[in-house]
Amino acid sequence: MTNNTDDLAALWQKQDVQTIDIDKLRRELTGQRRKQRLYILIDLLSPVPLILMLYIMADELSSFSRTVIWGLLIITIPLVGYLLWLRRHAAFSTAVNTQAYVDVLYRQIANNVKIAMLTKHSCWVAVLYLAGILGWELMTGEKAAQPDFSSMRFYGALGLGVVFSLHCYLWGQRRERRFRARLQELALIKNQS
Amino acid sequence: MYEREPILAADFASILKQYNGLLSRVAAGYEANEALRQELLQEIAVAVWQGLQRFEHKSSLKTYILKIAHNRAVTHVASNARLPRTDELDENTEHGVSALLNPEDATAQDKQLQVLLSVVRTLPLPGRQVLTLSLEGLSYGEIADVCGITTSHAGVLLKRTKEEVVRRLNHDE
Repeated sequence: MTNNTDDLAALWQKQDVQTIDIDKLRRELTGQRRKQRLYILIDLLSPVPLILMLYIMADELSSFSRTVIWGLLIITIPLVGYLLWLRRHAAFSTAVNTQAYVDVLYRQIANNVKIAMLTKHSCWVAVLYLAGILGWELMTGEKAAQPDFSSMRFYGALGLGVVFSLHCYLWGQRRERRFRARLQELALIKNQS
Repeated sequence: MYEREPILAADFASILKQYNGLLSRVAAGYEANEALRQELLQEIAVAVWQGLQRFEHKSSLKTYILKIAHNRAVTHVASNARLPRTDELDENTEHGVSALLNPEDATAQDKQLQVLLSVVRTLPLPGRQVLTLSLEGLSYGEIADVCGITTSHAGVLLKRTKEEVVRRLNHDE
């Protein structure tokens, strides 16, 4: 049986090899590039609805709603910057040595766990937030005073928000679990080094 | 000393074809399932293609490519955390070794190779890396560069891993 390096190397080199599909690779690269650009575009456009709301509905918004939207805008803009930085960072870290790579990957996945957890909780917090605002407007009579107010439409929209939030929460939970499993595996790899 | 000319994008496909065997063997060291291994090989190829655009000739091209390939394989291991990576001796793969040998020798060599692959896939990552890099002809210095360890550590680890692999190969025979 094999008992020296040359024998092992000779045996190793005799493996059957699979073939890289270059055409598929080119398609994947094009797809990845498009996807990456789309993500960047979505990231960059995410504060736009808030800006438009402030610009177009300036006269209709109560001072409370305006404050809420400004608050969201202040949170969103640095978050967009951070997400863009993360995307750039992820794209340029593949050619370092493995030990450094595992460290970077571990930190990235740990961040992903945090982001997934934040996403999960932001789902129900957003609905609570919305319910709070609408509840406030109902209590103060601001909402009922609007000429086109319909309580059926109001509770329907709130119900839809709850269903959407539940789906969003479960999706966030699955993501969090998946990232935690990866983090656990990477922790094992790190401990081997 | 390495050449300093940048690699042209037009050459990427021929570089991948040239290193196809090497990259396929890296994938084989991390993934036993044939379909997932092909998927991993393709993922490695994408990462290498993207990495070639940033190659700065600080090491040989082979070392640079191996660095990217092993890193991509580590991501694969972490991403498939819940999936088994060590199949029972895979009956559907790694059979082509023996095409030119007589049936008895061919069967023995197939079995040896399958046992070797099976043992390699169960090694801890550092040992698996130094061994497979060494089997691809890299020097201690190059292995250390890929793994991010010292040359002497690479030497010690390689010696220890080889002893372990040989012991397990002889035991499984």
